[in-house]
Amino acid sequence: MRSTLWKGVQWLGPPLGLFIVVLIVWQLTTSLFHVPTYLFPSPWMVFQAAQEKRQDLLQALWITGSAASLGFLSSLCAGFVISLAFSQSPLIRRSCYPYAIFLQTVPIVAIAPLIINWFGFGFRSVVIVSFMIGLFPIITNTTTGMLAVDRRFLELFEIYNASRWHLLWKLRVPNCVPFLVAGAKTSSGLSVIGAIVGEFFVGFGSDSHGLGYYIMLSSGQLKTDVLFAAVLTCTLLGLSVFVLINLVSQLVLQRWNTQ
Amino acid sequence: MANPATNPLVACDNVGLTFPGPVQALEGTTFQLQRGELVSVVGPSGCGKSTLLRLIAGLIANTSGNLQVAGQSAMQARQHGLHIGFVFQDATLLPWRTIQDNIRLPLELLKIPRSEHATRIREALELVGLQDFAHALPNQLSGGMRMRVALVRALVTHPELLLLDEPFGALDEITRQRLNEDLLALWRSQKWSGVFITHNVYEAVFLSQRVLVMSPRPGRLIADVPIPFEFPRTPELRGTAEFAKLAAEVSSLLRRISP
Repeated sequence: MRSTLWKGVQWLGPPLGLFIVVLIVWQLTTSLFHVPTYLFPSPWMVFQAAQEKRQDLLQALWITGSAASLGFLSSLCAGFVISLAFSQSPLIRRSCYPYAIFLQTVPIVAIAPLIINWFGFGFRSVVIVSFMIGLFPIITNTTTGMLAVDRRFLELFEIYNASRWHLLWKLRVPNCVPFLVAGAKTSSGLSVIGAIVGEFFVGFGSDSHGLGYYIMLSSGQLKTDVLFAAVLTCTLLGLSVFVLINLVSQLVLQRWNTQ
Repeated sequence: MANPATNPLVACDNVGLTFPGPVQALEGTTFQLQRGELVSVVGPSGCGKSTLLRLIAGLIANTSGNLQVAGQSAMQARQHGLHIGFVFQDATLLPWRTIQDNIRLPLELLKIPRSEHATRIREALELVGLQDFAHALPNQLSGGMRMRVALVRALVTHPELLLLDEPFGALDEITRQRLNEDLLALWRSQKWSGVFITHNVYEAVFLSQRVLVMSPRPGRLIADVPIPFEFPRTPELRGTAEFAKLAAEVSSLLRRISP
């Protein structure tokens, strides 16, 4: 019991210590040199701004968080289904893969007008941007996992005259789970970024705003302390997504632990 | 018309296999496996022993000669309901399935009624004394235990023909000897026919009624050595002078052909 506690301290201590040192140096320099708030607010001012705008920030966090989650979950489902199709024939793979790469390479800024044109400003478009950014890692990882099946497993299934259906659901799909999880780790982070970036370009105009829009807004009004508070809230969102997906992955991968 | 029961189960007549390249993997192989017979094939690494086994299993097709299993082509025999068991060089257990679910796999693939599964799995586990590990995952077992599971997984469908591709090559000597004895006991009680591939001369002599010796690539059968020892064979057989003499004979055949 004590040793677990000690390990926790050893693990958390150094980064926490550094954080406190940085906070102190930051506070001291901004106060001593009278740095203007619009250029670089002190940690205390950021804290005060966060306190003051807590309601707004929490609402924005909720909106961005939901957009990112919806984007991530839909890219997970769509990516999985697309990989199922890809695993079935090299022809499908060859025909469709270039368009999957298109998703990966197209700059969101460039197609933002198109998205706005089709889906309008606001939440729905933000989800679509988040979905598009998160989709590619799922497709590549999951497809790799479905195809990277040990030759002897394929022979084992063939010995028992396994159907295509059996091969898919009893071999390829379970085999791709660790790959799917690896893809989901990348994709979950990207979905958060996608949601925030999406709010920059297609998120305004709706009645309730996410964190990306909030950052744009406070930057335009030179409320740098609020901007810092919003950025920190974004970091908090990214961090919780990271922790959550790692917990889920550990849970799922227990069974797939390498021999 | 000849009685099919007296026909050989496997009949290879001048069977050859050339891979595109061309690489000749196997040339002019002729031998017969009678029903209920247990035959070993020894030969240097890369001589095409495994290829021969995959031909009999109908996993690949020969390019010359005539290969018949139960009076039809190997693939037809398998697809028309001849139950074949195949044991690979390593256990080839699906890592995400528990031991009992790994043993269940062939039953699922061959669509054997669900009501029979539990009994068959229990019997299989009892054969090799692994009842307590039904719910364990493969990576929680030792190499020898995993190989035992692979062995009974191949036997759970009550096959007529068991093909073993150097199954005990990676195990330590004592475990290997134990598994040899287990295998012989299973053969005597279940009366399947078997082809056992190995590069271990002692294992071949101990297990089989005949030892076939293969030449280096392109593989060709160069000798058919009858092993006259009575069954049941006990571990003490390994210490007798006759055993040593036969093993030396097979060894010298192998040495003569090795480059």
